[in-house]
Amino acid sequence: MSTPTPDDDQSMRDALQRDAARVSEPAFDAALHYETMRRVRALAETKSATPRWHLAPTLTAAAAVVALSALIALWPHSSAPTKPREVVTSLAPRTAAPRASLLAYQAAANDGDAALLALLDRDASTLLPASSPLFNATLP
Amino acid sequence: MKYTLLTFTFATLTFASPLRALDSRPTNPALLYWQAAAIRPQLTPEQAKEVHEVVAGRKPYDAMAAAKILSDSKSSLLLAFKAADSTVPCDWGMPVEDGPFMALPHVSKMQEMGAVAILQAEDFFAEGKVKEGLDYLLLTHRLARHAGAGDMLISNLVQYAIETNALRAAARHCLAWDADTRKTYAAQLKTLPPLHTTQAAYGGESAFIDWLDTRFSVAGADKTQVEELLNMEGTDKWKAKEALLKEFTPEGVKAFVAEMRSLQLRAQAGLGEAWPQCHAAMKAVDEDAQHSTFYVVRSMVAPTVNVGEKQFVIATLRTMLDAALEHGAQLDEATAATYHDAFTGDPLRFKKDADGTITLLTAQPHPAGKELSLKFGK
Repeated sequence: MSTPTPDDDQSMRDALQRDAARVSEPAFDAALHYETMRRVRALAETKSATPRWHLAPTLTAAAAVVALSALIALWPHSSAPTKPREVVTSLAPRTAAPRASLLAYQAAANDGDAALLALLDRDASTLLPASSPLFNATLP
Repeated sequence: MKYTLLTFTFATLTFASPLRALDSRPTNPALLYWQAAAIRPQLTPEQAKEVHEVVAGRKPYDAMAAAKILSDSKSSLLLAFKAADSTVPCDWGMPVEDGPFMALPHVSKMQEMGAVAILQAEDFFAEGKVKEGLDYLLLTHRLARHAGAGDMLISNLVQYAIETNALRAAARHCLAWDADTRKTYAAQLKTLPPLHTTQAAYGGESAFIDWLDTRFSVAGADKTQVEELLNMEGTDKWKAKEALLKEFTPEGVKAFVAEMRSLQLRAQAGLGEAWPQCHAAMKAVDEDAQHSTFYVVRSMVAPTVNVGEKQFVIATLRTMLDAALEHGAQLDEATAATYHDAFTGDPLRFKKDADGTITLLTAQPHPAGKELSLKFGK
């Protein structure tokens, strides 16, 4: 078997056209970028500088209410018989098998070739999704 | 002059080795396939359907419909060629220790890539570029073998599915090839590495048993993962889950693990036999698994009869293609009968339709109740 030789010019043209199609965004404006970053930092500093000690009494009261409620709810009722903890409250299937896992594929294969191939088709179109455009942006 | 020579020698020593290393560095094909998958644009549902129908032979090749798919896939397929040509073993790095939770994301990508490679072959055949088309069929054959690497039953099934598509695609066109082309392709098929056997793949199923054994056979083992497993959609058909969970005591786990290993070894041994013995062994394993006293065994041991048939189906299809590559349009009833199916060794049957297509069939229905055939011509 031989690796076919690609048409270099055509590949280059294709690549350039793809790249050209992406250049719909406005050009990077360094001044705007630094001004925005300066404002973001200023905002963050203002927030962190805000004193929080005045929230302390409110938080303490809220924590006390939560703790009291939990204590009442979990208080053992001496009249009620002790029940063993249910290991599995409901074994009705409710969680999807991990995507593209051995379990998912085995279950499909047990239903026949068509079921397995349908699942493979679905996974082929959804796995390895495109990276977020954020990560495709040009690095500064 | 002395300094020039010294500089030249120094430069040669400095740069020659790394350059040579770059030239001949063997790359794990799996990594190249992942790169090929990563740069492939996703198929739209309509495109996926188009690829599927053409590759299955249910729809004639349509150059207009395929044009965008193939132009978008060009770079990806070229990387797949590099992967297929790689001389080092294909290692998918499967996390077998995860047992049923093991991720196998590559199998669906390989299945899709194999289908697109066949679509590219169809494109070349439609243009009369047979040699180029054959390159893509051979890529698909190699890709099938790489998909089966790692020896898991699912990988094995995918390997057979891709290989079946390639054999059927070759059958659609081979009667139109001249004798030299048929002979060359037949010779190239013989140079391919053998398909991964179902017997070896069944060994991979021990990943599930090992997972059960290592995690749950000790006192005080955390059963959270079993509970998670039992709550998953893939286990819908498992019976008596509450009772099954109660079998997860250290003694219970040791006992059902031993039974599962025994069944696995019997199945593996059976898969190395000729079809009648293989079929009998698979049936016995399935029956014994279903009559086990353990719910775990009844639920978790996958049926084996259907799996056991695959290797005989693919071997028979290959024999049918070999017959057509050898005889081309001269293939007739008498010649076909000199070839035998891989199930029971019965002679192949021959059928010629009014439209000139030829079909080779097994004498008896295989797999049970189904007719195994390969159609030559479009």
